[in-house]
Amino acid sequence: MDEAAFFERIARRLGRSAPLSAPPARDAVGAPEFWQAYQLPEEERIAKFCAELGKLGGHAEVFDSLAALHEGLRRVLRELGPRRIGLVGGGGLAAFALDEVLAEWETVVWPYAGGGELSEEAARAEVLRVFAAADVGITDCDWAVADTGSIVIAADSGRGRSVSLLPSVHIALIRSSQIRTRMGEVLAEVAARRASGGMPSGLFFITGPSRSSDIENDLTIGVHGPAAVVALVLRG
Amino acid sequence: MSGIEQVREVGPAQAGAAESVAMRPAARPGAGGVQARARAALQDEFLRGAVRFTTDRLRGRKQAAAEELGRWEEWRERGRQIRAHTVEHLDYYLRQFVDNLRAAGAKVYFAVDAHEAAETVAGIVREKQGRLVVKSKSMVSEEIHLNHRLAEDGVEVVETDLGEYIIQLVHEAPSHIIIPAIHKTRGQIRDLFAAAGGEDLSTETRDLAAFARRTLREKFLAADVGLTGCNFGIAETGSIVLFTNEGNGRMVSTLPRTHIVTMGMERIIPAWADLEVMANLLPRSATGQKLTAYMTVITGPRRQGEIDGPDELHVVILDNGRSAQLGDPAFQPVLHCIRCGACLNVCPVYRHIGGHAYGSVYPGPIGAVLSPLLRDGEQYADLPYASSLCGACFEACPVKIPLHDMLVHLRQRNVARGWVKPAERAAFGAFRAVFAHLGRYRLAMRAARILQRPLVRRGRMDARVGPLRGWTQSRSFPALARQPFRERFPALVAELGPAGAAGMESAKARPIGEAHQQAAMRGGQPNGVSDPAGPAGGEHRG
Repeated sequence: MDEAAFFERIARRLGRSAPLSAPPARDAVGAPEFWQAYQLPEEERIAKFCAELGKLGGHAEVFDSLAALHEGLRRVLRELGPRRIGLVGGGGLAAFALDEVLAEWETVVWPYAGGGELSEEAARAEVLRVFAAADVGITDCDWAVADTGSIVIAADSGRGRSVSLLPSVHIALIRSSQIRTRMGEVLAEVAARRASGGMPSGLFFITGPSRSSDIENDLTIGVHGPAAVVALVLRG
Repeated sequence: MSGIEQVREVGPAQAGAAESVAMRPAARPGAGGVQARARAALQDEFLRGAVRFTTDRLRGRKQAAAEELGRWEEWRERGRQIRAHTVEHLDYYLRQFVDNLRAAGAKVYFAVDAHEAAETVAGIVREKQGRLVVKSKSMVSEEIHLNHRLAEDGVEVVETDLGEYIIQLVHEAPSHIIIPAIHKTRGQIRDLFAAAGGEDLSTETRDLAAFARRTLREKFLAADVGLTGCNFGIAETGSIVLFTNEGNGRMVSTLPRTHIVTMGMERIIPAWADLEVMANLLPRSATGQKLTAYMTVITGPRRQGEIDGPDELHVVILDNGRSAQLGDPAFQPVLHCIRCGACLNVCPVYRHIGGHAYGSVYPGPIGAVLSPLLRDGEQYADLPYASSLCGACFEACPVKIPLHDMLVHLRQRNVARGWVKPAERAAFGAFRAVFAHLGRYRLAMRAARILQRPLVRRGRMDARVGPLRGWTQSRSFPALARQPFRERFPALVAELGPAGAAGMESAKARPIGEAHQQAAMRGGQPNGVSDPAGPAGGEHRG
């Protein structure tokens, strides 16, 4: 349908001769005020995040040093015994200096470029195939939300959306400074990027493992996304 | 836990019966009236048990989740304010949304009706030479019968939500907004999956889900086009928000080269800050979850340098009867709906007859209001009667839509248009003739007092015969008093003395209230028993 007519019909029904072009005044924006004032101190934020993720069947651990986190990651991976691990590229994960820990496993780093002389189309299909065959995906994140136990990842060129989605297990490395009390804080920080043209093409709130209750309302885990979510939190 | 066991026990034994309902033509939209379909559904014991079991759990979890959050009424009021403000200024916010969508690189289309929307999507798929389309759950795609349209072009469409995948295998429509296969047993699902290539499957949920994961994973990776709905569109950035639990929404919007979104034009919120309110209301109201496993916010197609994510994002915005509700004070708030399904879970009618009996894409109280509004005509005109007007739907609604009032307005509309049964029209004609003249009224009441005698037992009627049997065979109807109030009135005035009599006169002068007329239209309120606004009640109060 003609776009102008579509809008004119809406305006007419609302009693206006032409579509409204000035922003209407608002008296109630976002969450109720008492909720916007909700703020936990850092230690409680960390504890709340771990507890909420735990309730959903996820697993969270907190480490005081990078060396301790390395040890924790090694322990988790040895328990899982993956044949192949997929990793996001980019500086966020690199800062965790995982090379030595991961030396004993086969790893692929996003964007995987092992396809050789392939067309763009074929290269993309190859990358997706490789990561779909990984048992574990390791990512960093942009934020975490204590209230809901959510891990928040924004898409960018170094970070494939697929790394946190296709493998059976998702391990996220988080700095405690990234944990916010409420979702609204994250939303405000993302919205603030709008001015600089920096809206991510995709923003993913990941809250526990993939789940479904579609068969006789019986909860089952890992339907399409990861069946296990592990958050390793580094203080600082 | 005991509840789960219960359903498992019922499951295999009743599988045959449930199967026969699925095949019954009455289960398909449009066949017979809502009463005929409800009767068929009521005969199916398993369906009733399953629907009640799940809706009980959803209702209980919702209550727990609302209590855990605290100050639920404040959240509800905020949700209502945001939705009401947006719909009231939809021309502005939809314009802003569309401009920002385009700025982010999306293509936008407008469809005035279901046909145009389906044709538009079919056109995009054709242009992209799509052969395989993967879909996550979208009520709008059901509303425009998209799968059917794409199948005409030889395009394979795969539903990837586990529940939708199950009912797609048996060619049925969803019977619940949130849990589409609520009416299927695990035994039936195992058989369906076996027919779809899953050999040696048990009826364990884990095995069944694993088969769906394996099968659908191949489809995700091979698909040309991904199709999703849109839970919310954020006007200030042109972003599409999807709430899913399984991860299929992320798959569908990440892996295929083309992503098509179908959405109702009212699905907008002004700002990112408002998303926090919707994220706190929607999952709690739908499944009692604090938040779904995945909340995805998409702003345009993938950017330069990103490898996964779609090359193209197409957004089809649908009117299909929505704009006709704007500006109508009785029905505009139906556009506030956030499609959570909470009204289904608390509705005594839905809980008894299930979703298919409504015969429309949207079942339950919201469907009984929305379907006759979106498709004005006699097809869905009987749905507003599939309600006891108890108001539980309004209590459950996270954005406070007065659904029960709308059901009454729709019944009024039917009457004004003459869409009533001849017997009902005759009854109300007689009602008007009798109640408009005191002499006729007295005569009629005298006759009724005599005629009711064979049916009255201890001051009540419980008869299975007679003109009131529609009411009296399942409920009691109070018999007319031996001496009517009007005849007792002079004696009562004398007892009260002069002061009381003065009050009586002013009460008598009050015109018959609109509420009384509404009560009469509901057809159930015994005159003056529980309706203080009626004339008799007014006299009592005086």
